[in-house]
Amino acid sequence: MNRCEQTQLELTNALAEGNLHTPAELQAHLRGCANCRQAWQDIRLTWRALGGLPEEEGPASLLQTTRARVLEELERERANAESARMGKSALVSVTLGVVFSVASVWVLGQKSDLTAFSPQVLLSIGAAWTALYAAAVLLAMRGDGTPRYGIAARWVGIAGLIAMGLSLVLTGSCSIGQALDYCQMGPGVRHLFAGVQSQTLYFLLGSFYSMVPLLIATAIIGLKAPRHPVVLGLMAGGVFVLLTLPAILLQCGAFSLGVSLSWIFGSLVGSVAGGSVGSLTGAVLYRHLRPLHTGADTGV
Amino acid sequence: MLAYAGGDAGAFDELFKRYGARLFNFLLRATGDRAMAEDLFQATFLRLHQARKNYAAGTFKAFLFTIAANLLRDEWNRAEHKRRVSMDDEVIETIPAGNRSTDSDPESFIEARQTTKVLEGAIEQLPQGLREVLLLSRYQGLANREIASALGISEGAVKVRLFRALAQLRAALRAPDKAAGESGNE
Repeated sequence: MNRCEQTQLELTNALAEGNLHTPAELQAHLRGCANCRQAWQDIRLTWRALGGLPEEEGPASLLQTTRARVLEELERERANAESARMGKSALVSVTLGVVFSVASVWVLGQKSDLTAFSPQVLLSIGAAWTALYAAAVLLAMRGDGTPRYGIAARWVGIAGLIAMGLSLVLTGSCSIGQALDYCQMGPGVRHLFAGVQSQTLYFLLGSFYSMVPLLIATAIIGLKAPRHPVVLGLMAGGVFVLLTLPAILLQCGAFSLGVSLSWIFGSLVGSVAGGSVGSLTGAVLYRHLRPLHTGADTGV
Repeated sequence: MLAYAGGDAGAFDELFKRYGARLFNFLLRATGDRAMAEDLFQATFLRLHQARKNYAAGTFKAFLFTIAANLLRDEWNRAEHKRRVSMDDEVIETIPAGNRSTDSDPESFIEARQTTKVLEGAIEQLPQGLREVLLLSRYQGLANREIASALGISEGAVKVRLFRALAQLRAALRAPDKAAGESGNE
């Protein structure tokens, strides 16, 4: 490529790249070369003429069809991904449900006599418990979409699971049977419960055993999801009551129906009270800990 | 593009609106065949959709036209397509009214129409390698570096091809009758 061709090549590319300043070396060559000056003028005219060629947008039907096909692909991929995520979540939920259920039965087995139950009954209760745990885990994992009535469902599931964990710790530390014995025979409290019927006692202890874990759990969650604390507390209480039902059945299987119902109602009342108060406490703490909060919390 | 790669349909719509027409123009000029351009247009967007997660850096425009250029080459490699003789007339008929700025001056209009016709014919006559570089540079505004990357050639080769393409078009404009006669459009 000779000097003139090289100059014209550089000029062409400078034009294409939008370089407004022609290098001094090229300018010097242009000044002394009439042929290249003419070529440079031709190049610019050609370039300009190319810019004037008519353009087409393409047929509307083509644009619509293409757009629709890609959007359809996007939707299909989204549905597949959602399905895969649901499948994975379901698998994790059931696995954790089995683990939590076995662990719970093991904790209760340390404090209660489970030999009163036939293996079939134990298996049935274990299966029901697994299902309940799996549902709570699924709620905690997948319930993170649009909040309903200001509550993100995942926090309800998390609060219920935390409360259940604390309840098992409480039961492992001091079972309701031990607490009952202490109330009836303990030197300090015996006279307080002397006139209390056993059903009432189970109601009170059931309330206490539900209220304390839920109070702690919802107070923690209230810090994360401070909006609509009462609703959150009640919903978490509902999840917790369901999760504790198998525990109550396993612990009071040897007792009467009245005792079981008292305990269940006690658990219900304790859950409602603990959930509401705990959530409110968490929400109040949230406001004090984050005075500059403007409303954009992470949980709801 | 990153939002689209993440599955955002709105982001795709935005990109489609911005680049759809430009892509169609590029393909139409590159192939000179409307049916082929339409097929490649769809194929490019579908390929883009499949490859969107591979997008890492650079401009979306370069990414899109790299895909289009690759598909064009595949198409060229698959079959030697026949140029459609009616292409010039077809394109001339689609000149938007706004572009006919010389309507009030019959002589200028005829001159502009002839220039357009000659240029369209000359572009079609360009070898594929020169034509795709010219179209990507002049009509898509890609930098030489981006064109080199899109076509898998060196930046130096892009410069040479662009120069040669312009040289051929200049020659055609200087001798329109001959060029048009060669292309068989007159």
